[in-house]
Amino acid sequence: MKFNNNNKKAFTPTPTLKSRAKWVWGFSIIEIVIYIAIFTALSIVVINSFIIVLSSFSTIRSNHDLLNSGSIAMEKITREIRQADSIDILNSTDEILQLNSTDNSSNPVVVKFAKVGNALNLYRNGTLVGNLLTSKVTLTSISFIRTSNAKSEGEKIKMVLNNTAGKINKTENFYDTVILRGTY
Amino acid sequence: MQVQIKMINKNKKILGFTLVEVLVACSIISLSMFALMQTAENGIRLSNEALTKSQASLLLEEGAESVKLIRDSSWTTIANLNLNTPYHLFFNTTTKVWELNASTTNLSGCIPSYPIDGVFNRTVTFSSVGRDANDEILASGGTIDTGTKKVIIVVTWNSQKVLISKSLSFYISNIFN
Repeated sequence: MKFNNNNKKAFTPTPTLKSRAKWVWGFSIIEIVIYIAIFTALSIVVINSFIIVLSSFSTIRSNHDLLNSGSIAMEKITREIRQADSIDILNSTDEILQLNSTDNSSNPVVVKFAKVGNALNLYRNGTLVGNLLTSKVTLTSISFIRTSNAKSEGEKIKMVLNNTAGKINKTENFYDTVILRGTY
Repeated sequence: MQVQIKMINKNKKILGFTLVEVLVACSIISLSMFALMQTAENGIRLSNEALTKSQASLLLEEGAESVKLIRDSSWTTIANLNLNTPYHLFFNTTTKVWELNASTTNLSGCIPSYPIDGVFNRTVTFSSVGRDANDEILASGGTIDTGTKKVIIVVTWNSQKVLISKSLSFYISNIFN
């Protein structure tokens, strides 16, 4: 107690300390306000960029799906057309392409591409081989147009693919024209 | 008095440290966010570019095949074309044959209209081919071979306001007449 009293006495000229202490506290409140303001602004930026990064991931995935399906399907179609001997005009429509072709062991084979619902199906001798598109990609439309002249026969292809995932709805067109090497 | 000074100093020290800490934290967070967004943006740009490039390469292939179809139909068509002039390829939907036209980007009754899908422009340019005494093709000069033409197909598109172009060149010969 005595020590405390003494101490108090030693601190008696403390208006400076008091005012100083008050000033110190006041400063940190302003600081907290500034801090909260900065924190709020930053968290808005952080959350926003997080959303952007997440949506960019789904955009990239959608692009990848479209690119994959588009190039694989187009590659398959063009290779089969190049290898074919002739187009079966009677069994072909805008959405169906039937080719008379020859397989590796020189046996005749009928290759058919057809739009069935949202799928692009490949048939070999009437048997379904499968859908050329990946599961998340749908075939909006396909158009096969036969072109011919005195020396050769060709096929103009337009393929429209769509990928819908969440907010992303992307449609891409793929064009190609191929000459049937077997018609020369 | 000594205690007083110490206390004030201590308080000041703590406060100063917090401020620096906040600034450092802010800058680290914003820098890393900036880097993350930059990466995401680059990712989107590159994946879009990959898709566009694959579409462009299909258009190049289509250009080459349709020029060959025109050749198969009649060499005269190709022989009569103006050299070193960019032509557009059109598919006539009635006669179902490919045609070349240098003067327009939109021919009625024909597909596509350029730019294709509002993105791609495609031109076909023919130039003469010169050969030496051994019938080898020369880069320039030589005797002009009327039965052969050099074909350059160019597909261009804009990516982030930068014009990107891909080209394909080959020789085409009058092999049927």
